[in-house]
Amino acid sequence: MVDIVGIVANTLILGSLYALIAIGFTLVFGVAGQANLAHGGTITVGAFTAWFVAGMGYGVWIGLVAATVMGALFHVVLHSVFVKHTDDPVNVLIITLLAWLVIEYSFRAAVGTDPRSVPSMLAGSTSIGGVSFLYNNLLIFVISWLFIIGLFVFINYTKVGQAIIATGQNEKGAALVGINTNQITLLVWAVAGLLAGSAGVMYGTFRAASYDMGMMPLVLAFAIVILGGIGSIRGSLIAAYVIGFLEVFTTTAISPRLSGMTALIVIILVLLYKPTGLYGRELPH
Amino acid sequence: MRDNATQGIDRRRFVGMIGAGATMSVAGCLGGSNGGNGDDGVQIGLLAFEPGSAPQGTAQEYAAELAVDEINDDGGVLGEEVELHVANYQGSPTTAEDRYLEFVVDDNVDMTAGVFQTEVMLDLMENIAEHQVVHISGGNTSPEVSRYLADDYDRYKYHFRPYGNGVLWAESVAEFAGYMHEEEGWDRVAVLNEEFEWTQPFSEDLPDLLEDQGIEVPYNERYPGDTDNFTPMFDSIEGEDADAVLMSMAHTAGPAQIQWRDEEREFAIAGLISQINDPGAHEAFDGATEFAMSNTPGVHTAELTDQTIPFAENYYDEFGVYPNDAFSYATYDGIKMWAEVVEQEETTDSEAIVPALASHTYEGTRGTVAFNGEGDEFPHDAQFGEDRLRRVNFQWQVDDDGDGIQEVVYPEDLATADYQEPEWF
Repeated sequence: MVDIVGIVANTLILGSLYALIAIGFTLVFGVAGQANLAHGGTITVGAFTAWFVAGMGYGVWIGLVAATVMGALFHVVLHSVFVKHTDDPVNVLIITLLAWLVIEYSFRAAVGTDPRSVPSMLAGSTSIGGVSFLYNNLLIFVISWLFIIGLFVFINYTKVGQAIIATGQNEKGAALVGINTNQITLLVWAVAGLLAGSAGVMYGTFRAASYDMGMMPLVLAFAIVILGGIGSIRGSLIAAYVIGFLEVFTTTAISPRLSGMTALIVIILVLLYKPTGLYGRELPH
Repeated sequence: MRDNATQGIDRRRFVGMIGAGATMSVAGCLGGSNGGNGDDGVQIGLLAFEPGSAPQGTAQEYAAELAVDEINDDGGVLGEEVELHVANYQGSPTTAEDRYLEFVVDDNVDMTAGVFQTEVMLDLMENIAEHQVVHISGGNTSPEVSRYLADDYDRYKYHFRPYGNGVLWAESVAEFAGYMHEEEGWDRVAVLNEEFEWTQPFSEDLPDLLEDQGIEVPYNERYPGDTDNFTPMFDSIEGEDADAVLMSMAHTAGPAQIQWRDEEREFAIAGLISQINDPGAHEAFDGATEFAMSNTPGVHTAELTDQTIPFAENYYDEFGVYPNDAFSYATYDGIKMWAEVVEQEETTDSEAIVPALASHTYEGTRGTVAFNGEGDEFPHDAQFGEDRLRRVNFQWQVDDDGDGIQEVVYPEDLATADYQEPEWF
């Protein structure tokens, strides 16, 4: 029997988490024109940072803050030391892929292959409309949207945000009007790292933290960005919920054997029939 | 038939190995050595999956080290020191073939052991047949491996599994479910398995075995081995009003356990959950294993034979952890059994060892190890029964100090504690 209410509830929670994961990826893609494959690694960094901090007795909330900072820091180092010295997008792809693998292997060596449980942000559950919700999952929904709304406000209603839009529209033009595009690119990388680091913590509380946990979110981020339209935050938001729904619906109503496959099928179909995605290649607004 | 020996290895190196192998073979014939490979002692090669980081490969390595140390402390084999070679095959069939060739050609090993993944083992069967060196597996589970021997015994007879296969394990899980049906009212049981070759008996045979005992099976699904979202599947199982889910999995226990506990699911979880068979799992999973159950060849708390606990304690003293599943128990028993047969036959020559091993009985850490014969359904897999091997079903419980402990809940004569319902039921 297909549980419609359960599917909707799971989609809302998953979709918001997927949106948080994908938006940082699309931001870097849209503004800097760089595909950051280490985005999956940043999620791992975030999850394990929270796990370490919580394990030291500081709690998962301090862990969330630490993971957010670590995610941003990782991206700043990755960009400053490696990425900014190359103009070739293919080289960026290779560098970030290698960075991701280094992260994975480092965690495998340090922590092992067993998954680790990141503590829930809030224990317990409640019932809304006859459906049981974990407080942790409700918090994932709320925190994800706080980050997303915060990003929306930052980009659309601040000077720096306008500079990000300008850089994404035309980097040379932005430079001509006095915008330091290098700093803007670095800032975008840092923001993406911040979002991915926090997403890693929530992903870890929702599922588990493991050295190879970044693969699935990265595939999902790709699918979401391609479906939503490369560089479009609004498109990513909608696409995240579409991908979340497809995953939950496929697993629940068709067969668990197909889980994970829907995102790949979406990538192929969109590339074949609507390569620009839902919102084309547009700018954040 | 393809020549697996040439896969994943460059031609020049392969030719060199063949040359070296031929030279050694000739030298061996001329020398007429009947112990090990001449003056180099007896060599054992262990193919382990990520030893040092993955629990399965680490357990195989520890068990092999302990077995070899004990053998050497007792004077070695045929008066010679036993040397253990450990190679990490990284979960890759190609890497496993490369490492296997290095063992049999470069190191001239007298037997090989290990391999955790069925897919890797199936790929190695041709190499083992080609090089005719005894291999004693240490964890791979699929009946497909023993079907090689059933189809062409003379070619594949060098392979032994001193722990059986998934068909027998599914029967053991079904027997436990029947007990829980009587004792705890498990009337409706879901079946959920990872998409790997070794879990096929749990999808194909287990539901029928459950229904034969009057248990309804309203849900039987398989899922990919990289799944980390179990919420929709658990929703479906709860929607079917199942009393329990029986799972077979070796890679996804972490997220499955965590989501089952955090979401306070109204069904018990049992089956063959390889990762929680590891005595370190409770700590590694930060306590998420509590109340979960699994089927295993042995745990350090249950005295299957008078060797079980001394072995477990020696293992703990040596490595700071207790033995883990077949990776530890069967690897240890397998190497010791092989050494016993070599002493008995006074040679390491596989042609003498294979029939001797096939007919040998060995009192090991889990019971009496004896292998099925050529005409049986699963040749060279260990026999199960009252006077052979038995498997136990344990539950992770928490003791007064807050530490996780694997308590056997079935069979009743080996039980160390009663079954505990999860506190949220």
